[in-house]
Amino acid sequence: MREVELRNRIRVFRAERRWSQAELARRIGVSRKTISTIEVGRFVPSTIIALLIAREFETSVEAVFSIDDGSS
Amino acid sequence: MQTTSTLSTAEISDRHRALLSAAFLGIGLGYAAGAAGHLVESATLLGWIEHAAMAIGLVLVLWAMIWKSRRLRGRRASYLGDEGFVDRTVTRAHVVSWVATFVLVALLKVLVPDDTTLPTGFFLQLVLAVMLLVHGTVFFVLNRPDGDSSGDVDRA
Repeated sequence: MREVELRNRIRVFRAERRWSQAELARRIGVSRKTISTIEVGRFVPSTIIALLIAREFETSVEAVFSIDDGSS
Repeated sequence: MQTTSTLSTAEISDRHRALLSAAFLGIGLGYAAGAAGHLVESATLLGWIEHAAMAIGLVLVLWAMIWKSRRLRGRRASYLGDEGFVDRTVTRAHVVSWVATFVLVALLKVLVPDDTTLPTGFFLQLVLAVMLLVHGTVFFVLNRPDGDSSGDVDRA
C-alpha cells in the first residue's frame, strides 16, 4: 500500500485573512495546538474539523486539504 | 496574546489533560519509589520520595479538577474537545501504557519461577508505576512544543 500524506493550505488561507492560529482555533472551537499540528502535518484532523476549517475559510475541503500519495 | 482569563473551552480541556498527565507522572514516580523500596534494606530516602511524589500527584489532580471547573464556570466544555490533537495524544498514551503494562505482567510471569511469589505490594506498585510513568512520558513526548507557535506571529 502506498504511503499517503495529507497536505493542507491552512497557513495560506490564514495569511490571506491575517488570522493567527489562535484566532482560527477560536472560530472553530478547538485549541491552537490542534491547528498548529494540523498545519505542520503532525495531526490528521477528523472529518468534522476539516469541514469546519473549510467552512471558516468559505471554501471547499478539497481547496484546503489534498492527498499526496506520490501518484501526481 | 491570549490571557488565561480568556481561555477557550478547548484550551481549558487541553491544559486540564496536561495537568492530569503530569499528575500521573507524579503518582507513578511515587509508586516506583515504593516498589524500589522493596529491593533495598534501608529505604528512608525512597520513602520520602514516595510520599512527596504521591502528594504532588494528588495536589495536581485536585488542582486540575478545581481549575477546570472554575474556568468553565457558566460555559459548557467544547464538544470538539474529543476531536483535538491533545485528546488523541491522551488516547495514544493510554494505549502505549496498557501495552507496556501487559508486557511487564507477561515478563514477570515468564521470568519469576513458579515456586516464587512476589510480594503483592511490590507487584502492584511496580505495575502501577510502569502504567502511569509510561502514560505520562508518552503524553509529554507526543505533546512536546515544537516551535509551532510561529503561526501566531505571522499575522501578515
